[in-house]
Amino acid sequence: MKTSVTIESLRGPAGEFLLASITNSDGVIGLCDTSQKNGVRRKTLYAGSEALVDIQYRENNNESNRVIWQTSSIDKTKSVIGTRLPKSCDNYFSGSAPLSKAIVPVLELLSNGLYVIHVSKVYPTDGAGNFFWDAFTVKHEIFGSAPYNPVIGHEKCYSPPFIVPTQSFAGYTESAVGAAAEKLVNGKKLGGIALHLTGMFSALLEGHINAAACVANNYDFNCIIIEPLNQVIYGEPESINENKVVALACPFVKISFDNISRKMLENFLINRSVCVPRDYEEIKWKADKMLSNGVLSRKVSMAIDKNVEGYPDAEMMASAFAIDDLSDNDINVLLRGDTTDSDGRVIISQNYYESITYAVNYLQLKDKKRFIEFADAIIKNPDLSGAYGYVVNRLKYIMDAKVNEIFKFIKESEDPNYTSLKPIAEKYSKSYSDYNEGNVKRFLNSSVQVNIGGSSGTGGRSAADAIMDLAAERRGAGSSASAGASGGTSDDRKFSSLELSRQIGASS
Amino acid sequence: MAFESLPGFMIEVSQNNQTFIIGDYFAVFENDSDMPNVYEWSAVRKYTETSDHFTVSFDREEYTLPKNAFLDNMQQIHFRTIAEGMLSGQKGVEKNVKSRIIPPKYDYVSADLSSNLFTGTGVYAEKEINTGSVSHIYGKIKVPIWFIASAAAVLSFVAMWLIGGNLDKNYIFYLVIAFFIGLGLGTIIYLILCIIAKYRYSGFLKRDVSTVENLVFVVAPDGFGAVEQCIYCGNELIPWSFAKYFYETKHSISIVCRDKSVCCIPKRLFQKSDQTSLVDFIAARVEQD
Repeated sequence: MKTSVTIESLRGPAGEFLLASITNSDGVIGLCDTSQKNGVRRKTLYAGSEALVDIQYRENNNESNRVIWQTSSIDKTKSVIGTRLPKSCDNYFSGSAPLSKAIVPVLELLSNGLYVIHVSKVYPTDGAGNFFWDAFTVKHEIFGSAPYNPVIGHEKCYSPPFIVPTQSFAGYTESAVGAAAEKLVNGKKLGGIALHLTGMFSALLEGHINAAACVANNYDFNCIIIEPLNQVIYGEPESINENKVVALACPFVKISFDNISRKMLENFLINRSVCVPRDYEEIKWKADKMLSNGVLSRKVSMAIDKNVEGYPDAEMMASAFAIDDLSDNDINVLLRGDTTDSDGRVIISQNYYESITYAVNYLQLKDKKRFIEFADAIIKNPDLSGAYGYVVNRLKYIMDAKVNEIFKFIKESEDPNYTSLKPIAEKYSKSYSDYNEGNVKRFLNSSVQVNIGGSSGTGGRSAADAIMDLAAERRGAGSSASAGASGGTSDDRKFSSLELSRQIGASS
Repeated sequence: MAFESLPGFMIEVSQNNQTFIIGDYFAVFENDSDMPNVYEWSAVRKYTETSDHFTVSFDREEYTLPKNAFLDNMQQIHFRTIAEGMLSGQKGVEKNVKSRIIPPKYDYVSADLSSNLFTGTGVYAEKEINTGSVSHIYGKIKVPIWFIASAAAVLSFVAMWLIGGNLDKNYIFYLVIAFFIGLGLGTIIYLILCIIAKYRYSGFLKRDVSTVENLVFVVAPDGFGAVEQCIYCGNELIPWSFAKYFYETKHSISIVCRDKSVCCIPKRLFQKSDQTSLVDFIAARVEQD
């Protein structure tokens, strides 16, 4: 029987998404249980008869992080999958097909059930500051991989921000990354296709080179994320629906039964969470192995290593997902040492230091300027010395004149509370001056004709900072145009060299 | 939980205008409504199987699935395997299932089956069940049987002495008759047990669809099991810790579980050379009666 895919378009708090129902599928790609011993369970992402990624965890524990590692490469399954993945990816990101059409050939490969599909920005890291492609060859616990994150809670929806590779690192070549980067520079949109695995992590099925090119050139990496809709939400206690399931959920969205057709609901209810693929025994056997890159001495480029350092980690993302908004008033209340405002509302948490760390993480991701101001206020507040270390470790990757001033203050202070922070401050100052010099050199060498002399008085910010911010804005415009392609709106704003020079002139 | 990889299915109960979906959840669409009542199996308070229906009770609702609503025996086995598999390991659920020829599915746990195991497939023969049943009951009441037989022999000896008198002359005669009276009584009781066993088997035939199904028997280092071939996934076992004791007859080996259910393993399904090592394998893990 031919695989049947039904797709509906819906809108949730985190944006538009597609709800797909897959029936009569052969389940070429999916997750299956490959081991269960002494309360430890191992799930395996497979494609064809290849075990790609293993996820190991203690049973009945949704709050503990998972051990995730690569076992094989998706390249080996080309005879089964064919060119469906790259074609779908190309069709969508080149704009030649809408998401609902482009993704169908990929959905036909997945096992039966309901799936939510959306396009979101992902950070190609392991959630701990390491580039994703070579971070999963050793078995280790991955922070942020627990299905339930107590920081985010049950209520909030989020798009899984990190990815796990399915292709062997042997597939990474500078020439391929260079070619993809050239496409980016020429204005072509590059992305990937990922299948959600657990917590904040999805397995990247397609687009490894694209991810590397985006990171190397500091572009946003957008992914078509496919999330199995397999979690359930119960009715309110002591209501008529107590103990009854009333809605379905995945990290990106919660959908009540009212919004799902009966056919789709029946599909969800009939399909069980444990599936047995056709080549189960072979997959089970292969899942016991680990992916070996042999004696590969290849490493990612310096640019990737450097850019990845500045990406948010899992802790930061969790805080950002947990907090809806943080007003200036809320920040002032926190800086006064309170956790509740005048109306008795708990701003973030009853625990003061937890509130401070969540606020730091949230601001670092959402609002760099306010983050630096907040960090400055914490560092200069003697009552908050317990948070100094945490804040400084968050600040050290941000190259900014104001941050440099904070570190300068730490270096010059006689207060013993700062003693342990001084080595970090010294290191930062050196990195910052190198960074500044490099930027100025790059700037001078670039074809953009800017009057550097005119930007000397930008409120303590260097010309390099101004250029970097504008470059970020430009990338932001690019990403909004790419998001527009999925959402149906378009933003054709492009910055020419002339406009760029005008902007810098204006900011100075 | 056990038997989690068994596919879910839908069953319509036209009498009550209900459509049930049995899978990871217990779902009911009532009166053509598009909004189902969906329950987790952990919310089940009582699960009952009688000769003509299954009943699943929750805090506020109770649902009855008549056995004649199932398409065939296989669907019935499918239902009880998913339901009982999902109830496996759950405490606080009242389970009433009787007249089963093999242990209920909630005795099973999911496990990795190693390669070092014994498996056999086939349908039960009546004599295997009967000899097993007789041995089981006999094993439990053999002391009272032979006590009653001995008491009857002594009483008949005393009675003959009192009635016939002249013990010096007739005591050998009295002893022989008393011995045969005791032996006869013991034999009659044993024959009654055989009749009970036969009756029990015909009861299984009427009430338990598994009696005529092809069964897979597994004895592995982690446990043992007897599962209908139509739903066998190769991932479920009753752990040895759940076994109380075993007994061996000419035709079968029966492992008695802590919930009094019995897993009867016919010897003929295994090669002659394996039969001895199978008994030794079981004896190394559970006490022999």
